[in-house]
Amino acid sequence: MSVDVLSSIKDSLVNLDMDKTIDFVKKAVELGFKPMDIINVLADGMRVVGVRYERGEYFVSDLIVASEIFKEVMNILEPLITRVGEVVRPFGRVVIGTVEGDVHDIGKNLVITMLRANGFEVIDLGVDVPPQKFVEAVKQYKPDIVGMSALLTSTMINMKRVIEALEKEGLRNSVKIIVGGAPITEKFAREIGADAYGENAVTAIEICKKLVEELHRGK
Amino acid sequence: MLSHRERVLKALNHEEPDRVPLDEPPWRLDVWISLKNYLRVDDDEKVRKFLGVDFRHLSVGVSEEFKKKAVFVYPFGYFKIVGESLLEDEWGIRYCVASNGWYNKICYHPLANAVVGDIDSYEFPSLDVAGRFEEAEKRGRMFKDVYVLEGFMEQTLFEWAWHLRGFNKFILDLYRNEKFVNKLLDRLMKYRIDMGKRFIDIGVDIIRLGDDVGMQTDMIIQPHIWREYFKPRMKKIIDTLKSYSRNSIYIFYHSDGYIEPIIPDLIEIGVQILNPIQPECMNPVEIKRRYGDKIVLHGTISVQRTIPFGTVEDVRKEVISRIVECGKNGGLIIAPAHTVCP
Repeated sequence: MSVDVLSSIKDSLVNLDMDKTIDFVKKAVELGFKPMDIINVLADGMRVVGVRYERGEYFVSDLIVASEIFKEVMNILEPLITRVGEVVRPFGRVVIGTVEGDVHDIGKNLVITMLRANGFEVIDLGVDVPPQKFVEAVKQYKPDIVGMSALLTSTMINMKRVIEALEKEGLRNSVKIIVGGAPITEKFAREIGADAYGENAVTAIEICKKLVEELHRGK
Repeated sequence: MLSHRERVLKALNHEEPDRVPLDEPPWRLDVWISLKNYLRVDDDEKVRKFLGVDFRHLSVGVSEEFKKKAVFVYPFGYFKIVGESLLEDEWGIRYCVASNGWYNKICYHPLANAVVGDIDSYEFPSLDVAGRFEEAEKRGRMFKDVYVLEGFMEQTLFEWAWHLRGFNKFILDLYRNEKFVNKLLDRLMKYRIDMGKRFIDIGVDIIRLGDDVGMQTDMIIQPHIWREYFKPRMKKIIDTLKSYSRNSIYIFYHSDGYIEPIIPDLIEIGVQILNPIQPECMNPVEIKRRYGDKIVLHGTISVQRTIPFGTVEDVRKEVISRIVECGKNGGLIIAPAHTVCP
């Protein structure tokens, strides 16, 4: 029965059924399951959703539904985590924003939820973020990764300005930088001195995991 | 040499005209200003005539009543200013303006917390008010019989629905709130039909429909969801307006990005012109090969690579290549695939 509840949570999430997922999560809480066990099973579910997306079975709308289910469940579980006093050591810390002049954030927000579902701590700087704000966030939060998003050809060049600002402050080598968005390419990412290009929300997660490992090896 | 109208009608009817028709490039307002300065003219019409644009665009205007409460916010149009860098339109949708003043993002959706029972009582801006169609009527009288007139009704269903509801919320609705989606889309469909009839009364040749359902490499929503909710309603809009116009109008459909899975569906429901076929997302040559006898390709010139980052020669080469590879038997109208930025 206990195993059934956890696998029902995973299956409901994978099948994008919000009502069933929430019902099973509430049941699991009643049965005394630890919040972290439930979150781990949700993370498994999100990974399966990611695989289906990579295979072309799921589309961005499916990722959005999965991420909304995840967020809804986290609203239920987060207060319980604080109460139980579980200290969660994140996989890595990411500061992420859409660059200055650009207000698009659908892709960025998907990446944020997928990162959180995979155990990352994420600080969302929002949209229209000037280079100085990225620099201040790196100083304040000391992230492993800085992520930048842009949809417009007229704003993507601001990604380079952020990298230059970090270099000027002597912070460039303390972080790994990943960039993404519709007009962004691998070539562009290399040209501006980023460490990685994330083609979509799913591949971005695997890349971020590798970047964290690289950074920690370097240290 | 053919007249503007003769040229476009030939291309729309899949016959090769004297040259490929050119539609008005959608450029940012500051680009318009630069161009007028460069050409030493003070009038947008003089730019269009100089370039040889074969079309003229007609849009729905803001009501006179709303204008009294609003100001003209450059470059967006008439809005109520409801806070710092916060604008509100006639629908009650609110927009946060970006720091560079050129883009805005919807940050308040009036139906975000609505339930299905709220939809009927939510007021759509009336079409029968002063200010709504006067400018379109004036342009119609000026340009009818000389240019091909396009009535703009893009963001027809999906986009306006999520503008009212919220993007993630509306996506979730598509999966678990069928009644809400059906009610909202039915209301939008009727509104668009009424709007289209007014454009037809003015004398437009083309009705521009559209919804951005494509991304760079794939569709945003599952094709089957589009077919369930949007295809039948688009078909109803098209059938009704075609019949109202006694089959004289052409139907144009816009979606950015990759939408190849639904191109056969669009053709099936009566779409005759497809825009913009961003070359980074769908290969215009392939689209011409597969569907070129049934659909007119409109746009196709790269705004993600060639225009912003290429040379003048690169742009020239791309236009020529497009004409050569996609202009056979007409069925091609050239324009930048999206807004041209400085």
